[in-house]
Amino acid sequence: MNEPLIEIKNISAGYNGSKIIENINLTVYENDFLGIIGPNGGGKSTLLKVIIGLLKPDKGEVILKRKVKFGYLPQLNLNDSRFPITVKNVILSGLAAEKKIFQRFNKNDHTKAYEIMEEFGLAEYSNAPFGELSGGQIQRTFLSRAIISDPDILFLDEPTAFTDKGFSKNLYKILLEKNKNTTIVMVSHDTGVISSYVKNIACINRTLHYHSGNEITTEILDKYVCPVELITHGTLPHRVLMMHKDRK
Amino acid sequence: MIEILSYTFFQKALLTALLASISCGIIGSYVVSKRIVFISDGITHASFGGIGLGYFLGLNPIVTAMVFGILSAFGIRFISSKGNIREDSTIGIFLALGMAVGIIFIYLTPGYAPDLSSYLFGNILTVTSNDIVLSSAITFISSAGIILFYKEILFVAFDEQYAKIMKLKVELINYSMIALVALVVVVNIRIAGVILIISLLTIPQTTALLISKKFNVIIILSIIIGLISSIAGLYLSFYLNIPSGASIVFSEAVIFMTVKLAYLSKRG
Repeated sequence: MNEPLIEIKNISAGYNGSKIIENINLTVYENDFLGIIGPNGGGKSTLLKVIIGLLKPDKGEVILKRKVKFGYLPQLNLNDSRFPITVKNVILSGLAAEKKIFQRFNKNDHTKAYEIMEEFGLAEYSNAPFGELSGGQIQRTFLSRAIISDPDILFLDEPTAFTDKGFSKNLYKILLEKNKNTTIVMVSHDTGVISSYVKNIACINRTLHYHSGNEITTEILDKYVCPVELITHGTLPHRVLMMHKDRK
Repeated sequence: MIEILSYTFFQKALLTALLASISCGIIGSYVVSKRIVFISDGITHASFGGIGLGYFLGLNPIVTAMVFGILSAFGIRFISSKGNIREDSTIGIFLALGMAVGIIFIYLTPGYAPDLSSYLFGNILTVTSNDIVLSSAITFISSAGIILFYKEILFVAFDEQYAKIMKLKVELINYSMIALVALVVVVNIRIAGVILIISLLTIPQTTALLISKKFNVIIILSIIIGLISSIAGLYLSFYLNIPSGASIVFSEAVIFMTVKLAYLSKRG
């Protein structure tokens, strides 16, 4: 096992007094590819926000073992995307942490932005207004923003929620490549994808259960009440949806 | 057409209009893009309390209005950030309270309140040299601010959450910008009055948004559109003998409709 990179100790958090997550303990290791699964409202995004520092926990602490650069793909909210800014500038904003005040983006930064746009099929939209993009294009733009700084840890909240199947496959290829020197923490509903790409799984439904390894077993689903889709392989493609335990 | 340029009052008015076009062009682009028009209008009306206080204490009403404007801007931000009261309700309360305080002070001030209508409806011809000095200072601060901190302002306005992750000083930038909104609005009150001033921060910018979707281009276009409409408005005001604030707003609206129609007809 690699060295621990983030230690989450006894975290409880929520909004306006309500508790969404409770007594969470979790260790993220160097070069981990951690998949976080769980039902809607189970606290997946809340946990990410606490780790990144966007939400102050009511209790507990997040310990970073070394100085790290974060990349973050938030869960998409398509309502608020009409600010007059170009796609390239959105992507460049992922480098803002490395720029001093008054410091402008240089040629290197622009080249990097173009390379990523090329990779994510956004090259022709470089100067397009962000507000005119489709959901999938917005998600690709935000992914580009998250990775342009070559972060040490990449947090992804439902990275394929709006992208088509073709791009999703391409994305996971890119992520596996990145994972060689980047720790990835990914929230997803898509457990089929989770079990084929991630190294470890955490299941969160108010409290958290950690499973080393990437097997999603019925035990995980049953014992810890994670109502998620299971995908199995067979001669005919089929999926079995597990029942939510308390809805039986 | 040319001879009125030799009058000092007209030169002053032109200079004021130029400064206003720049400061309102910059700050208004921020207001419109970030969709904080209502809070800006609320600040304007709340600052009327400061105008009343200025009359009452015998101080320059613009200076006391600036203090009122900034305090109400911070007050609205602070109270709505606590999460109990919605922002639009908070704005509504500050707006009415500021106007009420202004009316009370003016009522309590003995004697006649000179220039009161120029604060309400605007009269660019009453602008004093002191006002121009103040306006130059605010215009300089707005221009320097947007040039020096362009990327920070842009990124924070676009996505606060990500700006926080990028370790930008989100709160500092938000509070500075809203203070700047208050200052720009108040320093230009003499042009269009408490009631109409918000149009200088919204109509040229909305017109610019029809033409471009790039923040920096919108700023430059807004300045140009603001300048053209204030010069046109000044001439209209002079020759038709109508209040300058209203004629400037009217010119802005004509430009807006022309551009809008041009785009509609282009689309066929």
